[in-house]
Amino acid sequence: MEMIHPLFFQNYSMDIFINGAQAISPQDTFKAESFPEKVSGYSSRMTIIKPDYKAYFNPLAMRRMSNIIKMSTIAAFECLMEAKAESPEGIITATGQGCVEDTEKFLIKMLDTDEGFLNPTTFIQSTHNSLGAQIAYQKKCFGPNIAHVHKSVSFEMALIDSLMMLKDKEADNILVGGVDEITAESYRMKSNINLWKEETYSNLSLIHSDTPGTIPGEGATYLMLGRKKHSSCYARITSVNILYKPKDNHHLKEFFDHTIANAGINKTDIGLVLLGANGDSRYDAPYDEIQHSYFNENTVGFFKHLCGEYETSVAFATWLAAFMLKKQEIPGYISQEAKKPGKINHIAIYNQDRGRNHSLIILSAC
Amino acid sequence: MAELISSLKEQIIEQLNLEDLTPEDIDEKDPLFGDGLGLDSIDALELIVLLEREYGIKVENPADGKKIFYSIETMADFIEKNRKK
Amino acid sequence: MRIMVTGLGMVSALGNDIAENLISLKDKKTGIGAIEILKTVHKDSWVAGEIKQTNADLTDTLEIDDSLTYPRTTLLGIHAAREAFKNAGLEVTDGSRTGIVVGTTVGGMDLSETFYRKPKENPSFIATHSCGFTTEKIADYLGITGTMSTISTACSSGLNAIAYGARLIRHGYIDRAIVGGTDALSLFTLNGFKTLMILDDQLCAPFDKNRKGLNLGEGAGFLVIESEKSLNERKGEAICTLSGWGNANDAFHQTASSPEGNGPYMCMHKALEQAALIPKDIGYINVHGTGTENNDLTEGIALKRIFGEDVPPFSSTKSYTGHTLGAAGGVEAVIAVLTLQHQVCFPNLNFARAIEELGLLPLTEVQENTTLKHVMTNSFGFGGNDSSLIFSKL
Repeated sequence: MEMIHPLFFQNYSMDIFINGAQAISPQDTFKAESFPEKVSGYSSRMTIIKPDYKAYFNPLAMRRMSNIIKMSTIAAFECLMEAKAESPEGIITATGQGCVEDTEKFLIKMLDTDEGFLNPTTFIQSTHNSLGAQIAYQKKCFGPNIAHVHKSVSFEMALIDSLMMLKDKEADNILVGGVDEITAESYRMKSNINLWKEETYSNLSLIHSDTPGTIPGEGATYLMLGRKKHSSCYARITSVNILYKPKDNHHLKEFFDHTIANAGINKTDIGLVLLGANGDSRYDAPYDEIQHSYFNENTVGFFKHLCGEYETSVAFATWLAAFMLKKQEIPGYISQEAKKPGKINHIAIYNQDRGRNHSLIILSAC
Repeated sequence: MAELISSLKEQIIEQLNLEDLTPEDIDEKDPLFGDGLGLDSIDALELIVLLEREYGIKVENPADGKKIFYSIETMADFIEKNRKK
Repeated sequence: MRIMVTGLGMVSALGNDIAENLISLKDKKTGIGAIEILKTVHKDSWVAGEIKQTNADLTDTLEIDDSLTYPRTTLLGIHAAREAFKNAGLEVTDGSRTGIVVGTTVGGMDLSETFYRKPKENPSFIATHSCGFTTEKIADYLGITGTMSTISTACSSGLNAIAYGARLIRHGYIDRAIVGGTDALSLFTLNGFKTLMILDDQLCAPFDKNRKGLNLGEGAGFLVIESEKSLNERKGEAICTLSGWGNANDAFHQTASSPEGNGPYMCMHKALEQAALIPKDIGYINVHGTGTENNDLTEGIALKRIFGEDVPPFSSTKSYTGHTLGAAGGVEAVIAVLTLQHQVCFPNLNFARAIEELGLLPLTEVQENTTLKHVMTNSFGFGGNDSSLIFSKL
């Protein structure tokens, strides 16, 4: 059957290296030297473990930084330091919902005061590209600066954008990030459309849950991608692809075949497949399907019980995969399956949003 | 005037989200912008909102802000002369 | 690989389609005026480039039948994208090789601000609020299933969306794409810009010495771009090529450009470099020209840095449409292509005297029968996000 999708990397002889990777998340992942020993438990909302903001910004600078800007900027700064870069040559950010807190503040005040006295600061900070703009401003980065805001594949689109720019030599390195926040107000509002589990439900029981709803999360993950391998290298990105509304299972299978072939490997070479199941029994069936059919010979793991459900959570999964490849370790709370001995060479991440946006990312050892 | 200066300091701290500052930290004669407290043009817009909301004074041209907001003292003077609330 | 422009679609305060927009542009008829549809307490204080159709009108015209209520940004987007598709003579038999990239800042905010306090009355807004919703709905409406994204970089969103689409084609992800931008007027943006004190309560006067600020507008502008190979295979016709693009960050201030116009300078320079052109090759520029003190001065400075004393004929068509924010890049790219296609430059309305520091004079009359080979269009956004595109004759 004719290939429906293009071969990304078909003509590429170039590797893309992850030379820095930092994740601020609800787990103890920030600046981690090793995997956290256990999973931190949450119910209702999984919020980040906050870094010490004052260690990074003086109080004056922080006056107009909401939580999302702070966590995004700090994760970016640490990632740059790790990759030993003063400033990136390009910044591409991804966010599904943008700067929610500032948007809410401005909107609610506007409604409450009947378009009365409003604050310019919250308006300016509510724009989606504030995340990338703040980093560019702080680091004096004059290079390309794009913000992708395309639902559950925002990060994948940012990744593809980065890879294209690196291939085109528009930059030698690109800082790419996936950031989203969950506020109490946003949690409350979305309860109106039955997205969440009961408030007392724990993330520790999220995967394979048999009740409807999921648990929202948040996080800021940044990767420093480059065409050259640094000593700080975590892994390589060897294939990224998305598929919108597959016609049927066959179409999906072709998508997987194709994306894996792009990485120059076979399905059996994949040491771990991370699945984006989020514990919502109404929508997780396709993951069970895939686990027992297409990937039935692969070790499978999960990540959303660690970070919660949010549109750029695949960024967190990418950090996890990179860290696992670097450490050559798969923690038991990610996968409980018997592991094959030997080196982990490739990890795949599969995510889908109610059958609409499917993505597959493959990372390989350095 | 002293009372106005005192409440102005508190209002500014709140309006500009200067979390770690107390009224005692701000001298009413010190410049607010540039080398002084270090505020910028967006803060100036916030102070314009503050003037209208708390004192009923409408500043039509943001460029006028430079003079009015030079220091807490100049702000208090301006408010005394122009307040409608 | 050449990127061919093969279709255009636009809805703005000037008209509901390309033909209507062209008539207004040629007749020097501005679309900026009283705010009638947006229910704002400030409606008598400001003017805007408002499209005189309600959401119900737009929904009916498009024959939308969905359990969700569509926000205005989505409706305008579908309207213009649909025209571009038809204009390109496209029939989608395999949607997987056709992509879409949309630039937007407002997203579904108009619905959200209406129903936020009464979610039980209509909870659609919770699902339709995010920027990506618009892109997916345009894709679904047109049968597109290829690579797609949504870009939100403030006022440069539309141009960045076009550039991203072009890159996806060059890298073989898709053969063609609908690219551009859409944004509706909303209380959120009107009040937001009001707090920044950069609105003009009268008709804006871009590049004028006495300019007082911008007028907001709304609209959607889309192009169809294709690889030359795919166009030849379907025996289609091109209007022009998208020959260059550039994006850079000013990294100076959240809402103002650096005094030297660094970001604007860098992105125009990049676009020229990519198009393998020299400044003299540009025959006309559709400038960002919002009418604010900061933008027009810094953009002018950047123009002189690139073009020296030979700044080509230029104009800001925001004097016609208002500043359509995330849609501006799309709307103005469409106007730039129309300029090239019909060899007519549209003027910068409401101009009287040059900015003293610059001495630059924009076009003030319609110029027909031009012999333009290359035109440029600029969009500069908050967060220092600056972009420039170049279109070239075949």
